[in-house]
Amino acid sequence: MRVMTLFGSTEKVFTTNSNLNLEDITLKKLIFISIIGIILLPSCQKKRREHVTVWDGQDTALSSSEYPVSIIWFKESARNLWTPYKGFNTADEIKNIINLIDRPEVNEPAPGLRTRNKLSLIYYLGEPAFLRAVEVYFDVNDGIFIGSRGKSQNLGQMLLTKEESGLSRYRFHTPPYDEAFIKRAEESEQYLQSELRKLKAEKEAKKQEETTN
Amino acid sequence: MGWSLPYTVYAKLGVFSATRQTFPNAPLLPDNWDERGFDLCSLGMNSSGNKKIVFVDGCLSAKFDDMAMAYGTYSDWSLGYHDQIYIGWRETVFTAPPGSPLDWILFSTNGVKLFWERMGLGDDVWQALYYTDSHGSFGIKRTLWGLNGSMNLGEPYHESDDIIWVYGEGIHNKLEP
Repeated sequence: MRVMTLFGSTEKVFTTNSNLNLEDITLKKLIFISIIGIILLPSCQKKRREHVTVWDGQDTALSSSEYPVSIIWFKESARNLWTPYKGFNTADEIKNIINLIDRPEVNEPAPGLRTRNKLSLIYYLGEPAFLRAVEVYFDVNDGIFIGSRGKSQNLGQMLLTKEESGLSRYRFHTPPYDEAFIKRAEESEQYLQSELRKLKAEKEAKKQEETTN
Repeated sequence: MGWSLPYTVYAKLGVFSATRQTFPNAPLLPDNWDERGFDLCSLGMNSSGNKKIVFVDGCLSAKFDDMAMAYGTYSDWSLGYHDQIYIGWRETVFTAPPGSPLDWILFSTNGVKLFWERMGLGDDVWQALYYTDSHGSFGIKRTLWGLNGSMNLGEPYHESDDIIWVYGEGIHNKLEP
């Protein structure tokens, strides 16, 4: 039997009529295995890295690693439909947010918190290009941030006073975005909302009238 | 001549809100659907004012507004008369065929039934939707109006938890004006 391999002489191993030199074969085998081993070694050492993780506030503090390059506040509009709502990109904003999530004014742990608001902390880990996101669930109640480590009025204010990114307007349209169409859809939504507000107010007024009578 | 079960004589056909047949710049659909799919916009409804109340009673039919657009909800006619409306579901909901023993726990069918019953009695779209909220069972309210069990129509898309969603302006439309 003849088998062609990268090492031409290896065919000796499978050739019945050749004069076998066991030492020679063992050495070549050893070299071959070593080369394969060297090639495979780095991939064995490479740890599998998760792209998205949820931070539950229990383990290490967020400030114990590098700062993210961006923080995005997502709101869940329908189930599993997360809409980008506000973005934080300056060093000051990012540092303050991270520190306040780690050490809120009121220490009230709530591990495993799941809400319809989350901050996605986007980390860029350099070469080889690798992006990672850490998700931090939270709520804002009466202007107070409620996270898995506690409550913070300062962070609540910071999040609420930030202007919207405006990206939510593209969320339920189909790319490539036609601005004229989106404007028309927004006008339509505004009209509907104002009509519905009127109708609701009428209903409320009627209800109140009924209760007072 | 042979015979076949009724469902086997139907061929499945992909129907799309829009394809490259009518919008050459539309995103490319997989599996050659741009060519073999049926494009609703090819009917011209997207720029017509003749569809007044459209209810696509299928999961995720109102997650995005492309279907509403295909039925003309944003037509120039609607801009002037405000009398076109599209209703659908923003999420996946459990459903069963009418009469199924599961019907009583799958509130989506009952909720939709209640809506159309009210429309049949002369309610407009707003009144009929409001009725499902004010008179529907707990299950209907949760299935149609989300976790808080209450209709939040009028709130922005990303702040509402309503499952039934409405596009367009014809909130006062009735079956027989």
